[in-house]
Amino acid sequence: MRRNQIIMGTGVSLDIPEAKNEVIFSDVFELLRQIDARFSPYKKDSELSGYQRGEIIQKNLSLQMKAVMAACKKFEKLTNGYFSANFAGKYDPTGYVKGWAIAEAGKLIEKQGYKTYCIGIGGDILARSGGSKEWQIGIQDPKDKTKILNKLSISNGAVATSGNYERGLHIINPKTSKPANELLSLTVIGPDIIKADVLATAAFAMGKAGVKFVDRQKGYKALAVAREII
Amino acid sequence: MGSNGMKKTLLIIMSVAILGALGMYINKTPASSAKLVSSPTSSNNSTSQPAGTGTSSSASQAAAATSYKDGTFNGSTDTAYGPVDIAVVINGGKITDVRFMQMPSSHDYSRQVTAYAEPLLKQTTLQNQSSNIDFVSGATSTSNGFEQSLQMALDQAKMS
Repeated sequence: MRRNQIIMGTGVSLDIPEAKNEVIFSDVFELLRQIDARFSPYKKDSELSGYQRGEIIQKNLSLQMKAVMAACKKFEKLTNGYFSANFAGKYDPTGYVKGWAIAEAGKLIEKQGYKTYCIGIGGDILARSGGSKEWQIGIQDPKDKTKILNKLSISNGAVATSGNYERGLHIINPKTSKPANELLSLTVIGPDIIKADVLATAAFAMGKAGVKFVDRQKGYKALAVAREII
Repeated sequence: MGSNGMKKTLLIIMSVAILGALGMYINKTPASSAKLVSSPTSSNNSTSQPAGTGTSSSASQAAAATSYKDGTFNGSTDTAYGPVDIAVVINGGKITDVRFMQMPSSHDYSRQVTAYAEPLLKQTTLQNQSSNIDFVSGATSTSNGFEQSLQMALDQAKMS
């Protein structure tokens, strides 16, 4: 079965071939809505918004928020600051939350006994296979969103793509404070969706050098589409 | 982020472009490409032949129809980093495999690049026939963007 919903301001698609009813789908969508309620930078009543306004102080944050903050710090270090939850004086871990939400959804699905599933949130994908199923993942052509640039067959793995072609120039190179524009898109393939997602964001901000950066991470590969050929 | 990283990226981008061009040739005008030749394999699954064997007339025949003629077709092209030889296996009128016979190996970094680029390049060529896709990876769209997206179209096609 496959179902989708709009959550976290983007599309969530979930395919569980062995599912027989709606229960697991509504459970996953509910979990994602709860994550969004806490971490959305757009919802005024979210914990994140409260923290950004200074109404919630550090020590009163939820354990979940503290865990996310610690993880962001770790990834900031790993990416030499190219991934950062701090920008222009504001704290925003959104770049981490999407991948983490996918991982949390995966845990829930597996806890319910499903070994084969594929979940995509806003173009980031986690694929799992307990048998022979190979998920066919298309990588969108940043120059023509109706087209597929590549197709990957993945049994167990994560695919995350970063680009500035959908939501405007929202990925900023923190070293220059300017929008990243060397690449049109950068896709990371690897075992863990959280790390793949963070690496895609950081490497996209790095530009062409980002491909090699990803390649240095054991188990992760990158595919970039440059703005200009050579 | 030394020049190796740059070169690597450039090579990949270049190779993808070359393969894209090759794909165009196969799709549209293979007969005009002197370098795209058919190897004399009779079976579809076929051990690949070295590039350059066979006759170009077979390629012309393959070109005539809209769907491809079964067999193994070899393509070769020179890049700044060395020759890239490719065998394209066509089975049942569709590209079923792309094999890399030879990838650039004359530079220090190129073996690394080859291992890295090959599966991606292979997929790049295979995708040209818009075969089955389950999910689409792309930059995050807005909810409105999602409604118009390929992912949404796939979801609708696969919902039951």
